Amino acid sequence: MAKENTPLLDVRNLQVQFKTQDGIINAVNNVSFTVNRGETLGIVGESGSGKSVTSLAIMRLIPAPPGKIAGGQILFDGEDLVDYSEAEMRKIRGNRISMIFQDPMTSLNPVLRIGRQMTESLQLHMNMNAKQARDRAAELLAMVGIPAPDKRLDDYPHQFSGGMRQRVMIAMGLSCNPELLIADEPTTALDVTIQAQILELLNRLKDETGTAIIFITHDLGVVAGMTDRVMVMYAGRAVEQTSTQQLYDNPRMPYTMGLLDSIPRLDEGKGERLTPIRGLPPDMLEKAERCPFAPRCDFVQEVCWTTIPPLRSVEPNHQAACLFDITHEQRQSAASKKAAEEAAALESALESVIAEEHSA
Amino acid sequence: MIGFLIRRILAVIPVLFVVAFITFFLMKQAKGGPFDQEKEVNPATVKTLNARFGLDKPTWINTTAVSRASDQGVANPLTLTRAFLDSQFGNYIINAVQGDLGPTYSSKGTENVQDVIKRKFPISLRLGLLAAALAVLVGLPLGILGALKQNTIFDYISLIVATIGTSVPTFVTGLLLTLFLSRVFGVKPIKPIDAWDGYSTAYIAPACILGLNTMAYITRLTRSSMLEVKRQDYIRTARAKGMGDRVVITRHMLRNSMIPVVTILGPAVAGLVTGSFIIENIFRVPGIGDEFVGSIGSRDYSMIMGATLFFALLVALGNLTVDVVYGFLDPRIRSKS
Repeated sequence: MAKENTPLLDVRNLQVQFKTQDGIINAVNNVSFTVNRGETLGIVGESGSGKSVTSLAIMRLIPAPPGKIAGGQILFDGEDLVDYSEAEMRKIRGNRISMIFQDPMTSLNPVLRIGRQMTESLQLHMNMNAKQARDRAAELLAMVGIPAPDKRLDDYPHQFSGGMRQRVMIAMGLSCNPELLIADEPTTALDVTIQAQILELLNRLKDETGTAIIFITHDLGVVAGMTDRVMVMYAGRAVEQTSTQQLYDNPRMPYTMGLLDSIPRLDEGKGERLTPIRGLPPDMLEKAERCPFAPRCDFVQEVCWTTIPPLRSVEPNHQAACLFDITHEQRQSAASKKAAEEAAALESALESVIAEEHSA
Repeated sequence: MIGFLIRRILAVIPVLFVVAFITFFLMKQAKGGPFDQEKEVNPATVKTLNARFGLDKPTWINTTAVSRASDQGVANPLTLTRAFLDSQFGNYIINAVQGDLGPTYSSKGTENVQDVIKRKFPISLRLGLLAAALAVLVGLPLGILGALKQNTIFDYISLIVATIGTSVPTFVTGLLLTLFLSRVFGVKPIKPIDAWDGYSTAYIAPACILGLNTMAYITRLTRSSMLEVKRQDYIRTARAKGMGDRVVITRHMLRNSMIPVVTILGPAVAGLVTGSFIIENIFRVPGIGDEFVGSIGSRDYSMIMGATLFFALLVALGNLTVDVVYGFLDPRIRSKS
């Protein structure tokens, strides 16, 4: 059934809306991207940028009402999931596309044994009997590095630590050999050492199983070690899309640059100041025809306030949603210039104070 | 689990003692006595009756008996303690521990309280259990339906039924049902006294009315609890695994949302099986609720004490059952106990 030439997942002009009391929120706006077989795509953005909603839309798990897929196509293996009935969709979920969620503490059912929660999808999708499903579940737990898997199947979620629960979630996600695994911030709720272990595990399993992964995160540091390509989202739009390497080497959207400059780096000198993105996250209810990032951008021009910049090709395999060819060096030099100005202003202010003191 | 049960059962004893103490105290504070009549009663008769029922003894402790005994040279501490406790309250507790709740005053001492309970409680128990079963069997599905079809006609029907069930008093619904049954169906809802032996259809009408309030409460509780569970992350996980509605509801939602419902069921069932004065009077049920309420008016001391203690025991057992069921529903509670 695999069609070699088509990408595994081809999302075209996806539009997701939520109806609220204050009006319609366009949580996902005209987003298009592809995921090839065995490839890992990172979706990066801040809270409310639409990355989780995008992933839920692929699973057709947008809570409706108030939400709905208002337009676009989700071509999975050439077939449009938007047209699928609920029954058809259930055969896809957990089977060909599966999902790992952010908070392992609340994503497992507290009153069911881990074994039951793992075997139910095996029995549903793989037509296994109880015995086969249990053996396979134990195998899966061993695969994600849980000791004494056969015994742990009879435990309840509260008997596992956070990291162990996320391993269980991963094992559950991979149980039916999905072609696509969506990991929605799988390490956000975990502490840093556990994060590293889970990422390592995902990397290993990706190589072993060859499953394609959509990795959703707000952490660009995580993206670097995990993904082949990255899509940056802002205010429900895709604002930059390219290979992971390119994104770090040559970001072309001021928002991406802002994100990169906000990460502390080990190879920078001590005392180096981080340059944050100024301003506030966008108000999703606002419907102005302008660049959503304009109020926070250091390079904002007159035209930015009247046009929504389309995603355009800035170099081969690299699209950015900026009207100008701004480079990272420009932002960094602007930032250092600004820092220098600030330092100078402070100095002169201090100088006058010191002078006053001397004269007194 | 066994240790937990033993600990919990032992904990019932001090509870019952405190209930007995408070009830006895309040009962003695109330003016009047069991032998008061409209006309003045011959003091000699009252004196005889008081002696017959032990009401001539001091209320709490008997110091005169102790001093009399020690004057007679009794030194055995057990005998002295018994003399000290030779009071109304002391004798009541000592007899109650041995299973004797004392003669009822209304039967002029011919029938003991435990015999009245033995005779009438089975009727109230059958009625109460049927009412509880109806409350659960109707309340749960109504609540689940209300939650799953939130803000649809089903939800509103469930809301209307629940509102009527809580707000309209049983003497109204009871009489309306009686009227309805007799006028529309020509059924006599009031059954003769011998209709209540064993399991008979006589119980259906009063059980419907008795269970109405609990049913309404269960409906609302189930609905809000289901809505709460519906929003949980693990329900999204189950859906993401491709589980259908039926499995998501029965396997993943129900058990989680049953916990608050079970909590109220313990005391609610205890309340239902001890009968209702109003319903027993409307449907002429020879149950125990009438006895409980009537005993207060007639200052039937032993019946008041017996009824209160019996009710307290049932509530305690109901709550104990709830705690055990919790453990089955929620493994997190099980591991703590």
